[in-house]
Amino acid sequence: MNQALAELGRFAEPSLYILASLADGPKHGYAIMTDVEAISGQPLGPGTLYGALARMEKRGLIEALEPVDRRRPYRITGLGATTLRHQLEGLAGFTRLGLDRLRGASR
Amino acid sequence: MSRLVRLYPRAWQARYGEELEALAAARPLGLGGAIDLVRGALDAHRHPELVDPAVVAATVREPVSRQRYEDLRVARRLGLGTFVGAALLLIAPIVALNGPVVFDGDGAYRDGMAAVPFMLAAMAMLSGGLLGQLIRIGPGHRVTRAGAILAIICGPLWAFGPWLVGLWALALAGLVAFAVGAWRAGALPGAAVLAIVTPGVVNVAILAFGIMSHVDRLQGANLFALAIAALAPIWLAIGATLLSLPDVQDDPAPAVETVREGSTA
Repeated sequence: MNQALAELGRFAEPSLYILASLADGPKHGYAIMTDVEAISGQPLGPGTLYGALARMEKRGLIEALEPVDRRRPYRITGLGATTLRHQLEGLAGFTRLGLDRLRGASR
Repeated sequence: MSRLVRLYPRAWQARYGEELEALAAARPLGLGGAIDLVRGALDAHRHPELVDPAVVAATVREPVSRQRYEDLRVARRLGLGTFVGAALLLIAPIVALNGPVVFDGDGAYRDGMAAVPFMLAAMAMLSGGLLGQLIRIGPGHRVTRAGAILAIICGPLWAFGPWLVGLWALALAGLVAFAVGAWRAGALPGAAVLAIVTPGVVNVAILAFGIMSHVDRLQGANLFALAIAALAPIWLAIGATLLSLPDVQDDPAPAVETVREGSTA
């Protein structure tokens, strides 16, 4: 796990999903929640969502935009995008390695 | 839902309250969502610094002076002692219940005096743990400190005469004031507060049941022993929060200067 995300403890995994959700553009809380549910297949509770958003905002991984109708959109920052990229590349390398070994074992 | 949002600290409500309410208006959250929100509120009380820049994180590792480092080492050792106190607290009722049955003019009762040294030691260890908490929390937090000091004084005094329930009531009140105050200051996790307050409530409920149901003295001794044993989580919570101090795991850099009182450095 990337250091910036690992420091978030139990919020690390939801934060990764949130960063992935924001990668294609700003979203407000409800849109993030439904998108993360679609990505992960797991419900994301409001307490976990805002606990993760507060931590990511504090660490400069995301930034809040001006609210629209009581809904405040969040945008991924450059640091957040770099963190997400590193994490996903690490996971992709791990996935390739694991699949290669499985294929090797099945021969 | 909006009621649950009120469980959050004010700074959190100011920052995220409207968004949370808009979220709830968009879709009912159900029981799971409500539980998650309560859990989030507990977390928010533990980490007020996330939205309030005026608050310094209790868990952030910051450079500490050599003196502070030594103080926290002492606090950590007091936490270990509190764990020993929990064991002694559990031994005390066992010893009391194995005391001789004595007959007097009012009938039979169990002489539990042999348990007094165990109770006294357990209470002294709890006082030590609370002293460690005072070191850990540092200056300020008047209600928290007053509560801890009340419990430090009244707890051991009560061990000399367990029938003096007024002293125990004061000690319990002190413990609750300490726990809630430290929680509000972000210096104690919500789980630790529950581990302190809940056994206190259970203890009072058992004692109240014993008094109101007019049990005989032998049955009363059994209930009293149960009420004492129920208190053990308090010792464990006080000890565990001292043992998990993040800033005493490693020796600070020796170059860090100690600033003594009265110095102008």
